[in-house]
Amino acid sequence: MRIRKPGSRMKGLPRGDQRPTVGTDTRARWRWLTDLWSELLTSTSFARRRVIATGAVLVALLFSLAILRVADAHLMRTSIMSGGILMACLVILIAIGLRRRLPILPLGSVSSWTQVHIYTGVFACGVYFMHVPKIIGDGILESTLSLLFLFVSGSGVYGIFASRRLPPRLTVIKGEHRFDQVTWHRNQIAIAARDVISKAVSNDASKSRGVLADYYRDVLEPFFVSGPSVGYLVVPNSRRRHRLLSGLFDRERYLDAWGKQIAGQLAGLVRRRDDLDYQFALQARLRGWVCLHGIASMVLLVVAVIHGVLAWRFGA
Amino acid sequence: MKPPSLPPGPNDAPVIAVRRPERWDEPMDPTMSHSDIDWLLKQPPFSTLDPSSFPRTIPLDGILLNDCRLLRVKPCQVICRQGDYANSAFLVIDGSVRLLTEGLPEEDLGRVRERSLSWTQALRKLFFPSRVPETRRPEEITPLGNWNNDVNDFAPTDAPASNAPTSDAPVLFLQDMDGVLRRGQAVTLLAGELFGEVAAMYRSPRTATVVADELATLLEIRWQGLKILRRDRGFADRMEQHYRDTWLPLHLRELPLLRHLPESNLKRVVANTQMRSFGRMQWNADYKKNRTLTPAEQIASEPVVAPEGRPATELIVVRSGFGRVCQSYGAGMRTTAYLGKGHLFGLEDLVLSIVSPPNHPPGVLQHTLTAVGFLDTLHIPLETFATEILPHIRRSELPTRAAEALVSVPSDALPRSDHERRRNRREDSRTLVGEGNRDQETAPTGTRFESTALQEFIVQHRFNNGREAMVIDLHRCTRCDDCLNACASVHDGNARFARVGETHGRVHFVQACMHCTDPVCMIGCPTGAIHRDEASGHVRISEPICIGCAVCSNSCPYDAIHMAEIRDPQGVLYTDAKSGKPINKPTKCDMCAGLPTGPACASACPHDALVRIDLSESPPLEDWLRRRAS
Amino acid sequence: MRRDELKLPDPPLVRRPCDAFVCDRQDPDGSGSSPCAVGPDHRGRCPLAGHDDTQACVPQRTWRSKRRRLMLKVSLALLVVCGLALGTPWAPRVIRPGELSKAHSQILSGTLQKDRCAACHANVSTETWTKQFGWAVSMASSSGGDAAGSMTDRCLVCHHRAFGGDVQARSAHNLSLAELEQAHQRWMNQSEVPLQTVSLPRKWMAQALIDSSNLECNACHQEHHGQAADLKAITDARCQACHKTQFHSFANGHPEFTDWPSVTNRRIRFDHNRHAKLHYPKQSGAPVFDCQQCHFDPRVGSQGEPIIASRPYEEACASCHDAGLDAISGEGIAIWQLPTISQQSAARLESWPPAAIGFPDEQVSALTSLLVSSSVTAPLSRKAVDETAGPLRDQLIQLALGGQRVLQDRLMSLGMGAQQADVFAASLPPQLLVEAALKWFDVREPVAPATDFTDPTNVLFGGDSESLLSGNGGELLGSAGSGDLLSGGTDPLGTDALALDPLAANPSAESSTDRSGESDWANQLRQRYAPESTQPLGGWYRDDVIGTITYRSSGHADPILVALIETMLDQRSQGAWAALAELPAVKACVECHTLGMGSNSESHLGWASRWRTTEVRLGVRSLTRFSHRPHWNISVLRDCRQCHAMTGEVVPESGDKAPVVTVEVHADFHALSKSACVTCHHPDGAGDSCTQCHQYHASPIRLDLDVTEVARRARGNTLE
Repeated sequence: MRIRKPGSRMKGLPRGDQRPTVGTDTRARWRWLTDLWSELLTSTSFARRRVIATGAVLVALLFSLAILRVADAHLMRTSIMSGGILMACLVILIAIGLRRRLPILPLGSVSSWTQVHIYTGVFACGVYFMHVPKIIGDGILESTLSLLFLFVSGSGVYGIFASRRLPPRLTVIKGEHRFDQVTWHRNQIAIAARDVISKAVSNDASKSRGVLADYYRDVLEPFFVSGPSVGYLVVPNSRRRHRLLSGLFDRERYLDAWGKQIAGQLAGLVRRRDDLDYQFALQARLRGWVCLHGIASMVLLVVAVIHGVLAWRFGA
Repeated sequence: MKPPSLPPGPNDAPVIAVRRPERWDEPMDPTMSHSDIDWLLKQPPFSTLDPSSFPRTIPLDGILLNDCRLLRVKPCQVICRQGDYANSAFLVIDGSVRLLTEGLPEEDLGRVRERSLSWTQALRKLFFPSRVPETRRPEEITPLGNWNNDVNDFAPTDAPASNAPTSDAPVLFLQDMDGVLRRGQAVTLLAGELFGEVAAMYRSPRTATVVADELATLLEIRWQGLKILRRDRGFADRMEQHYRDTWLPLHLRELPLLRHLPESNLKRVVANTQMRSFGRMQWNADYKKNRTLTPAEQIASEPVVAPEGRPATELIVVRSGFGRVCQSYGAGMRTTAYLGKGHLFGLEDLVLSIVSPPNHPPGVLQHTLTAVGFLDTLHIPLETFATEILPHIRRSELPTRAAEALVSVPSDALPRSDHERRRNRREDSRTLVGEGNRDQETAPTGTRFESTALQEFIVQHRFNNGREAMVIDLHRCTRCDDCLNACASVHDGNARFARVGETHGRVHFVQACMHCTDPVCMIGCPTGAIHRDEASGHVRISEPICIGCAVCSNSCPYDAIHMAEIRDPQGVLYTDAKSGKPINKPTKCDMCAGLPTGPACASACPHDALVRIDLSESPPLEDWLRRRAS
Repeated sequence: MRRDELKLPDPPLVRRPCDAFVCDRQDPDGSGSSPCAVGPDHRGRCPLAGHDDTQACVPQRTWRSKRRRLMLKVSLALLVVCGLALGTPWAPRVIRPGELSKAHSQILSGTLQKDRCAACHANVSTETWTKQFGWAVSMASSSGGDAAGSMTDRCLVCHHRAFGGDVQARSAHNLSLAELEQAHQRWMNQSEVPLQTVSLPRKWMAQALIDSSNLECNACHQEHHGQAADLKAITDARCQACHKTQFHSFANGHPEFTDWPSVTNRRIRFDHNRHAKLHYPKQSGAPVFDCQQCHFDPRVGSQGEPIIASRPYEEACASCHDAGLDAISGEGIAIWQLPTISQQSAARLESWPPAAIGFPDEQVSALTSLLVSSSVTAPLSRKAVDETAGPLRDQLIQLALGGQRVLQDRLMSLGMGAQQADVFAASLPPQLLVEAALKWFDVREPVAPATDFTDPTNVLFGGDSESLLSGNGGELLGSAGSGDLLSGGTDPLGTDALALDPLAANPSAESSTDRSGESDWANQLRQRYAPESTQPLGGWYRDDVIGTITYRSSGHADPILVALIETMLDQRSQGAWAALAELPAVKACVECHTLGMGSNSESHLGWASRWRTTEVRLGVRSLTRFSHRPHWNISVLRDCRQCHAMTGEVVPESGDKAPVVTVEVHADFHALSKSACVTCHHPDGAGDSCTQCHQYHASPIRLDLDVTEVARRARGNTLE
C-alpha cells in the first residue's frame, strides 16, 4: 500500500492535506479514527478493503448472535432486539438513497456510503436469519415483509455482481453512448443507412444497386428503424448480427467493386447498431436493477415500520 | 462546443438590453487618481518609458490607471505568499520589502478555505433549481456602479473592490518576523525593484513570500498591464536583467541538486546560465491544429531543445512549460518521460561525459528533448557544471548509472581534489542524518509512467497539464451518470462537464476543466476575469467582469470551457443594448467552489470510479490504478 | 472493413441532465447544436412548438424522470394498499402474525376475526386502537369487560383454576418466594456435588432482568407460531434463567438424587430381602421372587402407569398369608367373659351362673371391663372383680332385652364410629344374648350342678383356662384345617400347603360319629360347642363352659377387628390399646400394618389412608415427575433390579411389632444414583432436557378451564 508523496517544493501548490485543519481538540482526539477511515477509503487496495470489511461484518454478526443467545436465555424478547437492529440497519441502508439525492451537502462520498451499504446489507441478512422463526413468515403482513426483504437482498447481491461484471463488458464496446441518447444514436444510424442506400440506388452506373436495394428493403430497413427485441435486451447475443452480416456477404458475389464498398458501409452500420443495442441492453440492466432495488426497499421500509409498530404494540 | 449561431428562440421573444462590458470597465483600483498617475509618471521606471511604444487604445497612463493600484503596506504585512497563483507583479516605489524564499508554515501565511454556502442555502439551491438553463441575476452579469467607457475620463468610481479578482486577499501580518528572518534566507528589495512578475507572466505560483520590511509603497500591476508594458524594449531588458540578478539564484537554489552549493559557486553558475524559450506561449493554438496528427507527426512538429546523439554539453533545467523526453525506437520516437517545472534534462549523460577518460569521445545525449507547446529553460554549460556543481552533488541524488560511473573513475580524473570531496561527503552525511528521507530522492529528471502507452497517451493529449483532471475507471463505472446529475444539481441544473472525452484502456479522461498547471485559457483574457484562486489554485471565472469574448473557451485545448447564453431567472434572454447580440458567459468546472462539499462529481460516484487527480506527476494516477488492479 | 466506417455526428452534449425531458432533434449537419438553445421545458414542450412546428421536436422523457414517476406511482399505490389493509375491518386478518395453537384457535374459532385479537391483547381496546391505527368500529366491540389488565390476566380468565389464584400464577413455579427460598436451601444442603456457578454476566442479567414474583405467561408460552407449535416447549437455558446456581447439563452438574428410596412412610412392614432370601425359598416349589408379582398392574393399558405401590392383599399376599391369618384368628376374641366369683359375693347378686362360682378370679378381661365400665384398666383385685360382676350381668341382660340398638349406643359411647358401630351391632345376633341371659341368669330354672360334675371337662372347669388353651392349640389348628375342608373346595386355600396338615384326624372321627346311631347326634350336640368345626368363616358364639361371648374373626380385613382396632387406637391411651394389643388376631394385623402411628404428621390423616400400603400425599406440590411407562417399554428395564437393587442382607426380626414403630426409609434397597439415569439420559440418547423430569408449574396443571368462560368465548360474545 503506497501512500501518496507530498508534492515537491518546486510546485508549491497548496494541497488539501497541507491546509491547517481548523478543529477542536475533540476532533483531534478522534483524528486517528477519521484518518483510518479515509485511509481505508482512499488508499487501501480494494481487495484488502474487502477482506477487512468482511472480517468486521463477521465479527459483528458473531457478537450480536452471542448477545441474542444470552438474552434469550434470560427470557428476554430477543425478537425485539434483533428487530431493532434490523430496523437500524434498514435506516442506514435506505440513507444512501437520501445521500444520492443530496449531492450538495458534505455527507461523505457516495462510494464510501456504498461500501457501508454493501456490508451493512450483508450484516442485515445475517441478523434477519436470527430474527425470523422461519425464512418466510406466516401471516399476510409478515410473509409480505419477509418476501420483500429477501427480494431486496437478492437484488442487492445481483447489483454487486452486475456493477462489477458489466462495466468491463461495456468498456470493450467502442464508444460511450449516453443512455438517454441511445434512441438518438439509433436514429442517426438509421438515417445514415438510408443515405447510404439512397446513394447506392441513385447511382445508375452500378449494376449492384438492385441487389442492395432489395436486401435493404427486406432485411436491413426493419432492423434499422425498429429497436432491439425484448429477448435481445434480456440476453444480448450476436446471432442477429451474424445473420445480417452473413446475409450481406452472401450477396457480395452479385456486387461490383462500388457495390462492395456500399455493402461494407452497411456492414459497418450494422455493427455499430448492434454495439449500440448491446450497450443499451447492458446499461438498461445496470439501471433497471437499481430502480427495482430502490423501489422495493422503499416499500420494505414502510412495511417494516408497520410491522415494528405492531410488534411493539402487541408484544405485551 | 461553439455557441449557437442562430438568434435563440422566436425572434419576437422579449429581451433585456444591457451594455456589453469592455476592457477597463473594471479598473483594478477605482480609487487611483490623476495625481497618483502624474506622480507615478515622474517616478522611475515610468519616467524612462517612451509612451509612443504603446498602442493608442491602450496608453501608458491608461494602464497605470486601470491595470495598476497603489498599495501602502505596514511593517510585517504579507504582500504575497509563496504558492499563490498570481495575476499581478509589484513594483516597489518607496520603502523596502523582504523576500523570503524559505517555506513558511501555512498557518503563518493564513491560508483559509473560501467562504462556503451554509447548508440551508445549499439545500435551497438544490431543491429549487431554475427550470431555465444558465440563469443569472442582473448583478451577476455586469459590474455594479456607473462604469465609464471613456478611458480618458478619470472620474473615480465607487465600485466595490470585491469584484476585482485579486483584491480580496486578506490583509495579513506575519507574526514573529525576526524568528522567520533568522530561519530562512531573505532578500531585501529596495525602491524601483519589481517582483512577482515571473509568477504573473509565466502563470506560475509565487516562488517566495514577500513581507513589508517597513512602511512601504508598492504599485501592483496586473499581468495584462505588464504584458503591454513589456512592449517598451528598455523595460523588457530591465526585467530580463532583473530576473537574472534577483530570481535566477533563487530558482537555482530551489533545485534540489544545487541545494548544497556554496554561494561563490552559485554566483558563477548564475553568470554562465543561459535562458532560452521554445515554442509559443500560446501553444494551444498550434495544438488545436496538430492534435489531429499522428503521434509521430506531433513529435516531429515540436521544437527540438536538445537532439538525441549530440554531445552532452549542458544541463537543461525546465523553468516553465512542458518538455517531452523521447528516444528513437524503431521507426518512430518513444516518449520516456515528460518534464515539468523544475525538472532536469541530460544530467546522466552530462556526468558520464565528464567522468569518461579524456582520450575517450565525450558522452552523447541518449534522449531528445522537445518542447511540448511552450518550454522555458535554463542551460548550465558542461564546464560550469563540472567545476561548480558536480563536486557538491551527493551520489544518492544522481541517476544510478551516473552514480556508478562516478565511483569507478580515478580520483584525478575529477577536477576537484580528493579531500575536498571527502569533506563534502561528510557534510552530506550530516545533512542526510539531519534532513531525513526527502533528500534521498534522485534529481527530478522527469515524470515517468510504468506503462509507456499511458505515458504516450497522456503527453499526446497534453493531460500532463492537468492538476485536477477528471479520470474515470471504465471497468467500475456503471454509466449511471450520477456524477453528471450531481454536478448539474449543485450548479442550478447546469452540468459543468459532459461525460465525453478520450479513453485509454480502462482510463477515461473526461472533458472537464483540469485547472491546468499551465492554464492557457488565461492567455489573452482582456479583463482578468478568468484567474487562479489564490488559496486553492483553481482556475475561476468571475463572470461580472467577463466580456464574453470567448477567448478562453477557444484557447482551451481540452474543450472544457463552454460559452453559454445567459438568461434571467424567468428565462428571458440578456442581450447587449447596443448590438442586440446575446450576452455569453463562459461556463466550466469550478470544483464546486463555495459549496459545502468538495467537487460533487467525485463524491457522487458510488463505485470509486471517478476521481479528480493530479496528472502532472505519475504517483497519484499510478497509485489510483494500483488500488483497483488487485 | 473498419475503414469503410462512416463518420456519424456526435450527439448534442447534455447540458441539463436533471431535466425531465431531453431534446430529440436529429441534426443532419452534425454540429451537435440545435436551433433551440433552451431545450424542452419542464413540461416537455419544445420551445419551438408554438412558433414553427416544422422545426419543433418531440422531447423524450429521460430515464431519470421515468424512474421518478414510477417511484411516485408505486408510493401512491402503497399508500392505498396500506390504507385498505390497516384502515378497514380486514386489518386483523392482515396483521395477524401467524396461526394460533390448536386449542386456542379452536376456542376462538367461533369468534369474529376482529374480536380474536382483543381476546388476548389488552391494549387493543377502542381508545388505544383508534389512536394507533384509526379504525374505531372494528375494535369497539372487542374492548369488553376485561379490556383492562395485561395479557396474563387474560390467560387467567380461562386458566385461573389451574393455579391458586392470580398471585400464585405469576410467581415463579407458582410458589411463594418463601417456598422458593426454602426449596433452594434444601437443595443446597442436599447436593454433595459443588454446583458450578455460571459466568457473571448471565447471573447479573438473571438478577437484573427477571422479576420472579411477577412473570408473564408469554415469557415462555409464545403464541402465533402455527397450529403445530408446542406452547410448552422451552430450552434448558431459559429454565435456568433465574436460578442462582446453574449447571451445564443433567450429566454434568445436576445435583445427585438424595430422596430415593423415598422417605414417605410406608405402612406395610415388608422386608424385600427377607422375602427374597428366606420366605420364598421355604415355600414348596420355591416360587421365584418376582417384583412384578406385587408391583405390576396387570389391568394397565398400553398408556397408563404400569407400576403401582402394590397390588391388593388378595392378589399379592393372600396366597401365602391367608392360612396363617386363619390360624391366628382361630381362637376367637372373648368380648364378654364371666369372671368366677366366690359363693358369698355370688349370693349378693340376684343370680349368677353356678358354673362361675368357685375359687374367685383375680381379674376380669380388659375388653370385658372396657365394655362394662368403660374403664380401660382391668380390676386386679377380688373386690374389683366382684364389683364388675353385677354391672356385667346387668349389661348382658340389657343387651338381651334391648338388642342391637343398645349395643350400638354402648359402642358409640365407647368412641366407635357410627358406621362401624352399625356393622358391629349387626354382626352380633341378639338371640345369642337372649339365650345367654336365660341360661346364665334365670333363677327360675334351677341348675343341677351335681349332675355335671361327672363331666370330664368339669375337672378342668374353673381351672386356669390357659392350660386348656395351650392344650388344645394343635388340635385347634388341625380342626381349623378340617373346617376348611368342610367348607368345600371352593376356597383356593384348599390347595394350600398349610391345609394338608398331618394332624387333621377329624374326618375319621366324624365318620365314626356317622356310624353311631340316630340317637347319637343329640349327645353330640350336648357336648361342648366346637366353633373350630362349625364356624370356620368367623362369627359370634357362646361358650357356656368358660362363660364367654366370643367373636371369631374372618381372615384379612375383618370389619369387626378393624372397628375395634381403630376405636382402641383412637382412644389415644396406651391402656385402651393394651386391652387389644395382646390378642393374637390383632397382633396378626399389626405384624404388617404399621398404621402410621409413628409420625404425628399422619395422625391427622383418615383411617382410610392409614390402612393403605403407601401414603398418598395430598396437596404436596412437586416440581418433578416420573413415569415408569417409557422405561417399561425398554425390555432391559423390565427387570426392576436394573434400577432398584436390593441390599441383600437379611436383618434379624425385631421382636417388637408394636404399630408405633414405623418404617422410615427402605433399608433393603440401595439408593438410586443419578448415574443410573445418565447412562441413557444424555443429549444423544433419551435426552436430558429439564422438562423431561421437571415441570415448571409446581401444581400439576390439569387443563381444567373455566368452562363457562370457555363457552362464553367459544360463543364469541365477549361483551358482558
